[in-house]
Amino acid sequence: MTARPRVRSAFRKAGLFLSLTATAAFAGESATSLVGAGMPANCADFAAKVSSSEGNFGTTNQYGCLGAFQFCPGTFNRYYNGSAQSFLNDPSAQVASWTKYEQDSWAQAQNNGLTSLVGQQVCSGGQCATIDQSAILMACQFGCGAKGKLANYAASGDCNSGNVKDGNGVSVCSYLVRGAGYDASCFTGQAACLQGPTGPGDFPTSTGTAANPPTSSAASIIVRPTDI
Amino acid sequence: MSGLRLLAGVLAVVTSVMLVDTGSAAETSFSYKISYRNVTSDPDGIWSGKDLSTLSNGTVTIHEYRLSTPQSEWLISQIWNADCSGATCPTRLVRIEGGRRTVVVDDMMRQVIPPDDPRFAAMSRSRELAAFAQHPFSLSQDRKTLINGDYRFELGGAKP
Repeated sequence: MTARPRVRSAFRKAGLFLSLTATAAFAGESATSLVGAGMPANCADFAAKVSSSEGNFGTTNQYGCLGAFQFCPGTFNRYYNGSAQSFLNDPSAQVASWTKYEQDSWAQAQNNGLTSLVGQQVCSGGQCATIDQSAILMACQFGCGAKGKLANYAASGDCNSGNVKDGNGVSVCSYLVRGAGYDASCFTGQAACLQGPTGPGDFPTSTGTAANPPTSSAASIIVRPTDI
Repeated sequence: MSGLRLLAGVLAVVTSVMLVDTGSAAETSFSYKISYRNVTSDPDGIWSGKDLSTLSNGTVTIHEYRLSTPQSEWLISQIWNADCSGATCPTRLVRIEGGRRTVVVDDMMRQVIPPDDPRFAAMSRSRELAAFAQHPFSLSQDRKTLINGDYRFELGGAKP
């Protein structure tokens, strides 16, 4: 008679454990912890954004991908010389390896003409963004090769084409949108040109709403909807 | 007690379903064939010219998997080169019939875990990881889809 509550309790504990481990697995490393591992502060937000969909320093996923940026075997092989376990134990090595990987990705994007997308508008999943350096680097998670998904998008401009999607049907455009608006100058070697609102009339094109509208008494000119 | 019996029954059913699933998957899974490490050209000629896209040291690494079915021989060739992303690399599925090769899938696929790489040998493995390491590629029962982890690729677009 006492078995049923015990079984229920066991299921409850197992459920709690699973939900906690799932949360931990997808949380990623924070900007603060990445800075602690050697990431320059100005690029830490972008790095944390990438890590948020990858893993933590000690994470190994079901495909053998390692660490906060989920270096899969081929990438790991290319950017690190030690064992898988020593990589997992070394946050500084992960940040250094990922920095080199991002720098190489940017160089490859340039060589393949993919950086010409900078400044263009892209929309995906109901959200729009202006493509910038960080957007390109985020999209390079689909590959920056001459025949990769980003190259296919650069050629067609079609976010829904089959050849811009990965094996899960996810479009490279969703990564362009997701990655836009961050400082990635540590990887590109170029000063970030972020389009933050700085004065009256400046507004993000993704919302179409003025960020710093002056009061009507302070405005030098007032344009009503009927004037357009 | 009835609760425990119920739990045992559920576990038995789940286990038998998993065993059946594993058995059917094994029939269509590709087996590891060979790796060519740090080569300047593809000994099997699947990759050439610009598609080789060598790393800065001028070399690439190629991993091959194979599958024999009554109708055809299948070869998968994954190249670790400059075009890889962090998680994927260019990969081709080739059908071989009567000595004639046809590329039926050419896409970015999840990087394999080389079975003979000592750096991964000591890594602790979950059941899912061990399964992927052993069989990273399989064909669906109807032979119309290539399965690579959570990725799916429709066979088609023949490129002789």
